[in-house]
Amino acid sequence: MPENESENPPASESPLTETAAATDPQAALLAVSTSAAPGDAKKAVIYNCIVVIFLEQGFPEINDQSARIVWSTIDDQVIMAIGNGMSSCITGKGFHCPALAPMFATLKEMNQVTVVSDLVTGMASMVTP
Amino acid sequence: MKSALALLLLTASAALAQTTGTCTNKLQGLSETQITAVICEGSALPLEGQPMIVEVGGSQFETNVKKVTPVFGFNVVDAAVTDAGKAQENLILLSGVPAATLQYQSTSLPVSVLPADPLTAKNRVDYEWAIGPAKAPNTDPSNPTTDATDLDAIRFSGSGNYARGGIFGMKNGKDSLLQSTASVSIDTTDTDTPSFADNNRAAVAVQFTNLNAGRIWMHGNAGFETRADKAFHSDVQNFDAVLKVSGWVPVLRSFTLFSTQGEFIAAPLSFTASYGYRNRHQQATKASGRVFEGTAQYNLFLFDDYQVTLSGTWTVNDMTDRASAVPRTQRLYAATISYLANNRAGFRGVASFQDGSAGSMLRDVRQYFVGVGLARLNLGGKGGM
Repeated sequence: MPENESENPPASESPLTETAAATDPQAALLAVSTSAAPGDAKKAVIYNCIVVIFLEQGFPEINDQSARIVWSTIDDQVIMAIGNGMSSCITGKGFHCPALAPMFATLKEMNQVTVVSDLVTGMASMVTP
Repeated sequence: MKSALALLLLTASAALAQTTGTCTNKLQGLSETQITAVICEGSALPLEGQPMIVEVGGSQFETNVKKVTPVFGFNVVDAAVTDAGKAQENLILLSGVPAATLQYQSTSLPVSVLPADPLTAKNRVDYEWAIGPAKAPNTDPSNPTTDATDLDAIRFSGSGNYARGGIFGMKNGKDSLLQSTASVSIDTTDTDTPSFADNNRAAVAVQFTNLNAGRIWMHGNAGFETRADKAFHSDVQNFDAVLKVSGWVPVLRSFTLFSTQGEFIAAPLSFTASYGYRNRHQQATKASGRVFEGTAQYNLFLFDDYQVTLSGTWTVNDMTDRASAVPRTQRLYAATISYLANNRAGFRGVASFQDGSAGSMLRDVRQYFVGVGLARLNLGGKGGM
């Protein structure tokens, strides 16, 4: 269950708003300010974590889910920091998340470019519940 | 003959490029009770709910596979450590080794180990190389009549980097930011003419890493470096001992122009600057004194599928006894254009251009390349503290 459950808004509110309340203020703002956010809370949390962690690590703000991540330009130690930071962010919102650094390191090895919406969908299939 | 070889390489480069996307099996123990593995396509997969043994450093521990998820052309395996009492011990085991073996059903699979602590990512090995045809205008100073026919050559370029926490193998505190690095870079051709780049360097350094000053300077390094430059096709060598600073400048972000799809998210401007002592041997002359060298690299994305990587290197040879044959300032500008055929294959270099000189090069060159061989990247987290 997401942390701060007692502070969750009433069930009548949208999943986005629920997510916004369950996350930190920066993520909350991001959640409610994007019109392209996914339709369920888990995907919204994942997207918020992607936005926040990439910004923390020195990348430009990701404004929508059509953005494409060019892994080959990212240093190895930054890849590790992104992976660990994102795992910690998602876990901190009450979900079970595997370590993500191995996945991001492999995306770099394979020279892939990843659309953020695809990353959200891929990560959502790994994150439980 | 040379043109035929160049054509052959150009043709082959497309086939070689197909092999650039590598996948290596890897493992990370991010918490005491959980491990995550990436298992590449072609290897047998563990079954959910079944045990998986992690063999590491002559010891082993058991996990239970919770979830196997196929994503992006490989598989992510999430497993829980079975014996919680030994969890801490297992995590310590995993944090100190470069490799482990996964055993499940009848499969035994070697994996590289990524450290749990981001700071220990300072242990790394990576390399890349490329071969391709190069062309340069025929502007030999000894022959004032410029030939309309370009010069041809085969270009070899590559680099390898090794980094390890601490000072060259000495025991180091877990939280120390000290890192030792060694690197080799080669940029040369198969021809003796100075119309082509011939700039090759080996360097070792001890530096502080993971330094940050907000969005002005991030992922920074600062330390001491010794290095040697050597031209393979002329009698020129530099030996330097310098203080060096490098890192990202996030305020100078990468940009995407004229794209009808989403913008590209990539590293911002990165830089390296060094200042120190240089000893230069150039044919029969010697010179020594202070040297400054600065390099900057920037990524620009155009339309929906082009990446332009721009870089510049500026060198000031401020030597007290500098001979006239040794240039005081050198500038080398380079642009590499890569094309994105599809997201799974990623950007592939299709052409590049260099103008100027750097390091051990005798004079300015202007050369361009079409076609790049293969590049390989390796993030192994080559363990150990």
